Amino acid sequence: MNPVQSTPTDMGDYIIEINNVNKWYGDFHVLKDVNLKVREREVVVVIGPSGSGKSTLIRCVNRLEEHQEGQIIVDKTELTNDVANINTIRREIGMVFQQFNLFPHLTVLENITLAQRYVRRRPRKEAEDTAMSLLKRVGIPEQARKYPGQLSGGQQQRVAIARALAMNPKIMLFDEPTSALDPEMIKEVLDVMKELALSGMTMMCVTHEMGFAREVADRVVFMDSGRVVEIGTPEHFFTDPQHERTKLFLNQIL
Amino acid sequence: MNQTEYSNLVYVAPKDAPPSRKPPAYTIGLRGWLLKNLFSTRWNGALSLFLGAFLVWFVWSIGSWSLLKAEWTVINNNLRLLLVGQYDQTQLGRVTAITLVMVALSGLSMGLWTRVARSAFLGLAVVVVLLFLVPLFSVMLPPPPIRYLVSAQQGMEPYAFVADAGDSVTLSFEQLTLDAVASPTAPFNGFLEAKPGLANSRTVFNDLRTAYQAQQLDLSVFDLAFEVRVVDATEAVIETIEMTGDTLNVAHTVTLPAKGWYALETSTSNPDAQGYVWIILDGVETFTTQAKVEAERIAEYGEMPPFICADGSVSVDCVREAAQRELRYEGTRTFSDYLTIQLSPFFQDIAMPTFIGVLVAGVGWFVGNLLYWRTAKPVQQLASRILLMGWLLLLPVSWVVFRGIEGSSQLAVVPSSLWGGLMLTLILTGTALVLALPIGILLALGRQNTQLGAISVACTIFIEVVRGVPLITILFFAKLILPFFISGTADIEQAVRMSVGLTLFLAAYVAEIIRGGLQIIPKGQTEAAQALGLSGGWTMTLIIMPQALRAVIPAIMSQFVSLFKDTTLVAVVGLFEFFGIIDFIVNGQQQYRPYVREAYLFVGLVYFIISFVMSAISRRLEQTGVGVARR
Repeated sequence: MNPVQSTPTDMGDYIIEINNVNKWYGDFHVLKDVNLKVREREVVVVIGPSGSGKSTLIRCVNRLEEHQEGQIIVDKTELTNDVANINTIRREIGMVFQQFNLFPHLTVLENITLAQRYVRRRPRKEAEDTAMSLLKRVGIPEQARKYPGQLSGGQQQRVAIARALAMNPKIMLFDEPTSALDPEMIKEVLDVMKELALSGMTMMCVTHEMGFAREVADRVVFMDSGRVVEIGTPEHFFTDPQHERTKLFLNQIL
Repeated sequence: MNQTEYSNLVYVAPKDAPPSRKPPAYTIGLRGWLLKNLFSTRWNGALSLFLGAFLVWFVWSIGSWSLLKAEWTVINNNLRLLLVGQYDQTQLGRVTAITLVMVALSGLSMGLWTRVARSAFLGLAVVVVLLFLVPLFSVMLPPPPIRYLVSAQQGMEPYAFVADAGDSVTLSFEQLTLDAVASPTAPFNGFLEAKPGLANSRTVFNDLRTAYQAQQLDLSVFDLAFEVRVVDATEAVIETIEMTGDTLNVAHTVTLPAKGWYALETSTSNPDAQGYVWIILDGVETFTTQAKVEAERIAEYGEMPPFICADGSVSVDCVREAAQRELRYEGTRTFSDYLTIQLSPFFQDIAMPTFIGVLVAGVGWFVGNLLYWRTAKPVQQLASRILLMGWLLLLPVSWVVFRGIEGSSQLAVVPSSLWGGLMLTLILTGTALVLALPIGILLALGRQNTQLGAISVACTIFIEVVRGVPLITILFFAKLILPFFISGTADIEQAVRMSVGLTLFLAAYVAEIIRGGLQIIPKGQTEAAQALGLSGGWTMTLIIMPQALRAVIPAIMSQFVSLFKDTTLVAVVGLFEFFGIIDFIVNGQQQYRPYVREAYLFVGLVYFIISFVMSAISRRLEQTGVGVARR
């Protein structure tokens, strides 16, 4: 069955190409013939039930997970085991995790400047200036000298976004960024993500926030049991889903 | 509103939120505290009482022995051996210099890193002032009376003392009672040597007690016939007191005509006489073998003249011998005696070095505080880095300075076989601590990173072998077996080989601790670092290792403390470090043989204090130290 593919036209070239990717955890077939192409400045939201492989897919894009078959091309570079190649690609891809994964032994400012200084080799002053402007952008410049453990979940996640943005990535990956947050804090993180999407960032986002998907996504990808079931524009996807599994899923959650 | 009915609106909080308040004061009181913590249940109460009683008994036993019976002269007279062993006496300045640098660094660290509070530092200063006051107190106290136990048959060796013109000495006599001998627990109050030639008073005491238990000691027969003479340096008799049963308990005051040496002599006129009598001598300074006090006495009164010994010869030896036996004092004395005889000379000896040490540490602490509070962050970081470098450099510098340089006239070589005492302990410990951490980190990384193949296997084997073998085996290996395998290692000095052994031993344990630490760091940390494009090396050094090390600081520090104590094992390969030197002191010098207990207690106390400080540093590091994840 061919997933419904609608391609927005006002985007740039393909920046992520996932072609016939298969992946196994031991004997468990977690990604099955996955095909997905993302254009520059596009926002793709991946949804689906637990265990459907959406997190694994997004983690394959910056090679936190390795795929065994198929091809992933990011920014015109195919992901292979070549280490230098991987680190070059990774610095162009920002990632935000469900559990924030801030470095607890460093201050907020140090969290954001670390990779700039050691990967981008920026001088300390420049890195700190970038960090402060990003902290202003995510709305918490006053927390710069604090440690992650002193911040609320929402604030931590915003720091994590700033940390990823500090590397001037071409692509941002979000792996369920709001799933570990209190309901009151989800909005502050989603607002930052919306602002980011509007600024033209290429985003691939795994989330359960249907409101966000409907409002911000250019395309919604629905996955189940390791395969892509349906891809569509939000209005199409939410109002007129084609596949039975999609209908069932939407019925359950809406 | 009707109280039994609810309106639609059940409750709305007032518009203004109540202001935050302080928690109520903790007013549980002493009685409440006791009830809560010690006597919460009947069983706990019983346990508290039992343990409390045990604790009181224990502290009382140790305390009363140390303060009233122990003879600490052994420490005072051997302070140099305890601190530096047989290190070349003409070269002690080097040790002093290194010590002062170390003290200064400690002071700086306290100020800059741990920021020891002003109150803590003032406390230290007060202690130092007290050290100065102790000798002062003892000057105000009268010298304690001297008690001599004299056998009616044999008399005693002459007891020498010094006096100024017009000083008076009071002599009194007391019959030895059966009670003192009979009681198995009562200390043999004020017991001194009675018979010449006996090993020490404990033997006399045991002889008497054995005789008593065999019912052969009959102190009821008391038949004295001897004379007690006070003589001056030329053997001219100042006063003669005929001792018979009737003169007991009568005090005789003798005024001494001139400044100089005097002696108390006894001689018996009746070989069939029986019984024991105390001679109590009050108003003269107690004989002392404190090297320093003795030297002062000789400077003021001249060398001790010979006196007539019990066997009729004229000699100073018997006087000295008797005096040294007197040192083996087994009785109980009062706390003021203790202050005069024991504490005062000790503190006189250590007060000045301690004062200088505290002064240097104080200056360091002050500078460290200035740097912390009054300078900008970059300056602070620079100072912090320099301080760390200073600590790391101190170690190789100490090795070179202690050892000396071949062919140098300024720093002549002092072979490490002569090093000893606390200095050796500290340098062995310091070397092991500083080197084991980086080696341990490398071993842990090597073992964990299975991609390294052979290196990983080698690390694993090294760690497991070293951990599977007792430390003492490793030390013997370094001493005896290594030269067989690797030619040329026999020339390496013993202390260096021991140091290598200790370092590798510690490194293996540290490696396992660090490996444990690495395993508790969540995978998300690595992923986040990778996602930012950080290389594996940076991820480890900037992200994973700092967190892992911080997590295992307590474990590593306890391993450090453990190694500090384990350095005592180098004694078995012939190095006299702080613990082993006791053996050297008491077996090398006959007169100190009875004071093994005092020596070991002292050394134990010092070990405890240093270990305690290390634990305190560990706790401090946990709370405020490097790489803290603040929650």
